[in-house]
Amino acid sequence: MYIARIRIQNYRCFKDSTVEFQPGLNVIIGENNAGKTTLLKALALVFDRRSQGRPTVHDFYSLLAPIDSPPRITISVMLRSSATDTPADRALVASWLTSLDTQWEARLTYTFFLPETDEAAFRDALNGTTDRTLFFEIIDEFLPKYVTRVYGGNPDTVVTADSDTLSKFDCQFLDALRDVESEMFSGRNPLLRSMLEEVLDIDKQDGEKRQLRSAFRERSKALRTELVGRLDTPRLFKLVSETGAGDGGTPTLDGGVQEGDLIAALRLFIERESFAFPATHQGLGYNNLIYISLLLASMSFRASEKRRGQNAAVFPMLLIEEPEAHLHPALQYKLLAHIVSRVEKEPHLNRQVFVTTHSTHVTSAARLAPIICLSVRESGEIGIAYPSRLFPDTDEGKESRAYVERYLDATKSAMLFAKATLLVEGIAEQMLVPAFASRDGRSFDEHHVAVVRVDGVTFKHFLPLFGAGVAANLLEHALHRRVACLVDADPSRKERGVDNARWKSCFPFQLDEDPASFDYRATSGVQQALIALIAVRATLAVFSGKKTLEYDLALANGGNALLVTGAMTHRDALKELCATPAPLPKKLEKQFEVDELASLDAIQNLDDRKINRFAATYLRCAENAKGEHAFALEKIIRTPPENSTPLRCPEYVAEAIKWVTVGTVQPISGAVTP
Amino acid sequence: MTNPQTLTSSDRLDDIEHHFRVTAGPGSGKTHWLIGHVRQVAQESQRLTPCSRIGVISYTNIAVREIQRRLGAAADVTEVSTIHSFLFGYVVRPYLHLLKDSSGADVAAHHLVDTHSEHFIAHDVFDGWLDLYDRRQVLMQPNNLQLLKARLRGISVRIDTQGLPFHAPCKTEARDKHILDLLTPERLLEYKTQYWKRGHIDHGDVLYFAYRLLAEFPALRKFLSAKFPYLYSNSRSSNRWSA
Repeated sequence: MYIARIRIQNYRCFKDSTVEFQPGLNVIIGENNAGKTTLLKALALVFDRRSQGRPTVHDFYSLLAPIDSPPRITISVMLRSSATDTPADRALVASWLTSLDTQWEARLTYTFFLPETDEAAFRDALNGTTDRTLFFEIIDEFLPKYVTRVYGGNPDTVVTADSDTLSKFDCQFLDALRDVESEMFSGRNPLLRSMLEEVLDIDKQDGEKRQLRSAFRERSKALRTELVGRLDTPRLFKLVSETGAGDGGTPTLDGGVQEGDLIAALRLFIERESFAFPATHQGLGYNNLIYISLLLASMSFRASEKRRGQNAAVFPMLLIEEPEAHLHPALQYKLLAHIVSRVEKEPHLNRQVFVTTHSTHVTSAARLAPIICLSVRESGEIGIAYPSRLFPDTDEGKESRAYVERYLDATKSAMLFAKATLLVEGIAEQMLVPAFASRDGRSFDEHHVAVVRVDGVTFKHFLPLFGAGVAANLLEHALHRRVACLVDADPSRKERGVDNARWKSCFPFQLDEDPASFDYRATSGVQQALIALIAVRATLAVFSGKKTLEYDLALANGGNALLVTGAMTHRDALKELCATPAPLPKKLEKQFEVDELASLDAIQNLDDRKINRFAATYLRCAENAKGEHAFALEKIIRTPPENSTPLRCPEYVAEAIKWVTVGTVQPISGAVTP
Repeated sequence: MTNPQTLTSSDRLDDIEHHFRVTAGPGSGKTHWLIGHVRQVAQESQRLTPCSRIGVISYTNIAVREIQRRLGAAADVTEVSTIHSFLFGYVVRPYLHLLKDSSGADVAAHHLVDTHSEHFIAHDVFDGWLDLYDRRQVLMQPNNLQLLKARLRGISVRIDTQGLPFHAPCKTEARDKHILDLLTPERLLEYKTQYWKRGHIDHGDVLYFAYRLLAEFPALRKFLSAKFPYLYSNSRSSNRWSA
C-alpha cells in the first residue's frame, strides 16, 4: 500500500491541484513559493493532525474569490495497493475502500469546514460582498466555529475515520526550521528520551527485563540510602516538630531513581579521537545527519510488531524539508542514497519518504523516477511535472530515459530547477555563451538559466523532459520551460554514385560547389532531426550557425586578434592572418586538404574568401585546445582588454540567449530586453 | 468438521486457525467457553495485525456488555457487538453507496444514513405507497389497515433459490386475502425504497444491505477478514464467515 495521490483544495497556494506519488521515495522540487512545503503540510494534516493544529485564515487559498458559501479546505488522499501489501494494510483500509479491483484504492479526506448550522449566519454576514479583504475578515470571524473531520472511503457518505486506525500511520515531519540541538541532544527532550527508552532492553525476554529492572531499583535504592545518609535531615526537620506540624507525622525522604529519570540526565556526546564533547558543540551539518538517522531508527522501532504488538505503527512515513540543510554536497548525496537504500531494503519500516529540496546533489542521488517538479504557471496555478513519466514507452524512449538517468549528475540536475535551459554540445559553448549573455546584460544567473552540456549530440534524450515527443495526455506534466538547443550546423557532403558513401564533414564554402560529384547538406542530420522533434513545442527552439562555434565566432569577428589565445597552435601565424589578407603561410596551409584549399581559392568575393579562410584556419588551430582556449576566451569576453574591439557574439548564439532570457524574470539592473 | 469433539467449558482447542461450531444446551457454558477461547486467541495468534480485531457477535446489547466486561485484557483487541451493529459499522455504513438499483441510481440516500432503528410507519410514505397501486381505500377499512400495518412492521428478508434476497411478510393468514396484492416482493421493495431514499433504514434493512453488499462485492470479504481474522458468533443462529 502506498499514498498514490493527494488532492489539495483551497489550501495555501493550491486552489485545486492533484499530485501523484510513487511508492518509496518522492522528491519534490520547485522554486520558492511553488508549494513544496504546503504539499508536505497537507500530508501532515491528514496523517499527523495533532502536530499541525487548526488551519488559520491565512491557510485558505489566498486568491479565493468571494463566494456565496463558507469556503472549506479539503485534502483528499488516495491509498493504493502495491505488490508488498500485508494483511495489516488490508485491515487498515477495511472501511475506507473506494475501489475493490485487484489494484484496490482507499481514500481519506481531511476537511476543515463551517457546519451547515452556521452557514446561514455566514451568508448573512457576507451580505453578497465581493470584496476579498472583507470576505477573509468574515472567514476569520467564523473560524472558531469551523470544524475538522477526516472521512474514510467515499467522502459523500461522511463516515468519520476511526482515530485509532488513523494512528497506525506514523507520520514524522522534519520541517526546514528544525531546531536539532534543542530537540535532540538532551535526554530531557521527549524525542531523544523516547528513542532511548525504545532501545532499553530491546532484545531481552520479559523475564530477564523484569530481573534487570529490579536489580536497577535495588542499586538505585542503595544510592538513595547512601545519599540520604549524608543529609542531616534532623536539623532540617527540627523546625517541623517545633511548630507542631510534626503531630501529623514525621517527614522522611523517600522516592528513587527509575531508568527513565537517569535517561533524562543523559546528554548526547560526540567522541572523536578518544575525546568526547557535547553534541551541541558539533557542526550543524553532522547534527542534522545524526538527527535524521536517529529519527529513522526510532520509526523502525515503532513499526516493529515484535516489540510493540498491537501498538506497532503500520505505515511509517517521513516528511523531510530540505534534508540538505547545513550539509556538504558529498554528505547530501550520501544521506539521500542512504534513505533510498532503506526504503528499498526495508519497505515496511519506511513506507514512503517525501523530501523537498533545492539541492541538485539530492536530485542526482534520487535519480529521475521520484522527482516531482512544482512551478507556478503564468495563470497562477501550480504546474506539476513528473520528469520520469514523460519518456515514451518505446525502445527509443527507454533509451533516452536510461541516458538521462545515467548522466543526471548535480550539474545537469540544474535544468530541473532552472526557469529556462540552454542545451549545448561542448565545453566551449558552456563557457562562452554565459559570458556573452552576461556581458550583453542578460546574465544567466539573474535569469536563472541552466546551461547543460550534453556532450556530443545527445540532445534528443533530454528533450522529452520539456515535452518534445511526449504523448498528448502527458504534456501537462512536462516541464513548461523555454529550452534552446545550440547545435553545430556541421555541413557535410556525400560522394554521388559511390556505394555506401558516407556523409563527410565539409566547410560551409564548399557547399553546392560540385553538385555533379556530391550531395550536400547545409546542416547535420542531428540538427534536422532535432528541428523535427521540437516542432510541436512552442517553448523549444534549435539554433545553429554556419559550422561550429569556433568557426562562427571567427566569421563574426574576422580580423579581431583577441580571438587568438595562447592555447592555440600557430597563434603567431593566425594573428598575422588577422592583420593582413596575406596568402596562407605554408605551415597553416598544411592544416588543410588540397581540395579544401582549392575551394577556398574558388571563393570569388575577396572579403568572403578572406574571412572564410581565417575562420577555417581558426577552427583547425583551436581544435586541439578547446577547454583551455575557451577558458582564455571567456575571460576576454567578460573583461575585454582596454582599447580593444569587444568580441561580437555570433548571431545564432545571440538569438539563443534571447530565447532563454525572454519571458523569465526581469534582470535586476542595466540590462536590455526586447 | 468431520469428527465432533466433546468439550467441557474449560477445555481449550489446540488449533485456533480453523472454523468450528460449538453446540450445547442452554446454560451449559458456551459463552464462558467462548470468552476463554477469545483470550487464548488474543494471546497465541500470529495473524492479528496491529489493525486487526477479534470479532465477537452476540445477540443482545446486554450480552455484548457482559462479554466485554468478562474479556479482561483481551478486550483491547476484541470488538464485541450485535450482528446488526457489526454489519452496519463495517459493511453497510461505509459501503452502502456501492448499491445501485436497476437504473443505476443509489439504492439509498447513503449520506443521510447514520443509524438504524425499528421500523416505524411514516404516514405520508404509507399513503403515497397505497396511491401507487390505487389502494387508498384500505385506509377506510380498519381491519385491513391494522393487518397491513402489522405485516409491514414484520417484513423479513428471505433468500430465494438463486441466493438473492427479497422481502416478504413474516407470515400470512387467510384473513390477509384482501391485502395480499400489496405484500408481493416487488411492492414491499417499493415500500422499503421510499424509506431508503429518505435515509431511514431499519434493523432488517441492515441485514438485507449487508447480504447484498457481500454477495455483489465479494472483494469486501478479503478486507473484512483482514480486519477480523477471527470472528465468532455467540448466538442461536449461526453466522459463518469465510476467511
